[in-house]
Amino acid sequence: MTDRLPEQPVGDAAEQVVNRHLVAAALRRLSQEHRDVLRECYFRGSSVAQGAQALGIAPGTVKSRIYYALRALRLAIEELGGFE
Amino acid sequence: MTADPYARLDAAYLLGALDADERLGYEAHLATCRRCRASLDEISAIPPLLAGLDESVFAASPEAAPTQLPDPLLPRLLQAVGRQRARRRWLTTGLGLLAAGCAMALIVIVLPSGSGSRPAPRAMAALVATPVDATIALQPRSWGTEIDLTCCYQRGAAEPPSDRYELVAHGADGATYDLGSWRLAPGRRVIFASGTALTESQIKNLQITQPNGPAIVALGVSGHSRTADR
Repeated sequence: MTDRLPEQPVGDAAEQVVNRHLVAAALRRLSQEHRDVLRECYFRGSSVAQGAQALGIAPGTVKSRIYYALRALRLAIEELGGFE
Repeated sequence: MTADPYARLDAAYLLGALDADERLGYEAHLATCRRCRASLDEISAIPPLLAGLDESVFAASPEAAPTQLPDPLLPRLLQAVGRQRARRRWLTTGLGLLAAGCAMALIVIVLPSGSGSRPAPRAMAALVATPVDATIALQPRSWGTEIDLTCCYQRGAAEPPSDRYELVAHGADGATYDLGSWRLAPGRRVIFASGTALTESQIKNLQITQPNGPAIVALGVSGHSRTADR
């Protein structure tokens, strides 16, 4: 233990390291399928069922696409140097 | 790869896209499955990074498909609730998992967020008849207070009286602090990230006003800050 608290909690630092432009650039590197599913289920706030209807795919496919989309996004952010 | 039916649900969970039954089932499963906890942990840092962006981010791409307009018929209330849910969940799972480790995080996940230490978005109360719905989450920071405002027009709202709104804080010291302004279009939801050097206890209330107009919605802060539940 030290007698001083760090200047900022870890969560703060992590949020500040990755800037918005970098995240935007990472999003644009995603495949069209991954963009579509994030547009529906994140930016438009759709549920899995609503996203499935909007995209014309099965709910199970929506779930697995979100699964891979977030991992692809994480990778893209890493590749752009977003995470240390 | 695996027969675990929950193995691919982490991302939908984090985005708040699961329906209530599935979400509860997933949360219960997390308590017993280390692999799913690890899987969730892998991506829990991602959704908060999307806050403040909107789908126009895709349109800026040279190879992007023609811009699609948002579907005005989408149930906006559900969207707002979904986003709120997701946001709340990132705060509980993202920070909880990272900071406290899996065992602690489970407790955080399973408890309703209002009773945990993470801020839950709180609805602002209407002061006048207004089509504006807004929620605010306050997060104490080393530099002051982070203020995350989510704002949209109610579903089916008539012609909005204004498209510009301002956030102000009234301090316990009697002063008024401008915290920024934004435009709000029908059918869109604005996530407005703001902050102040004031601590929560120094903020008497937060209000949204129209420019040079009266306050339309408000949230009392100090006095019932942490315990004010939904």
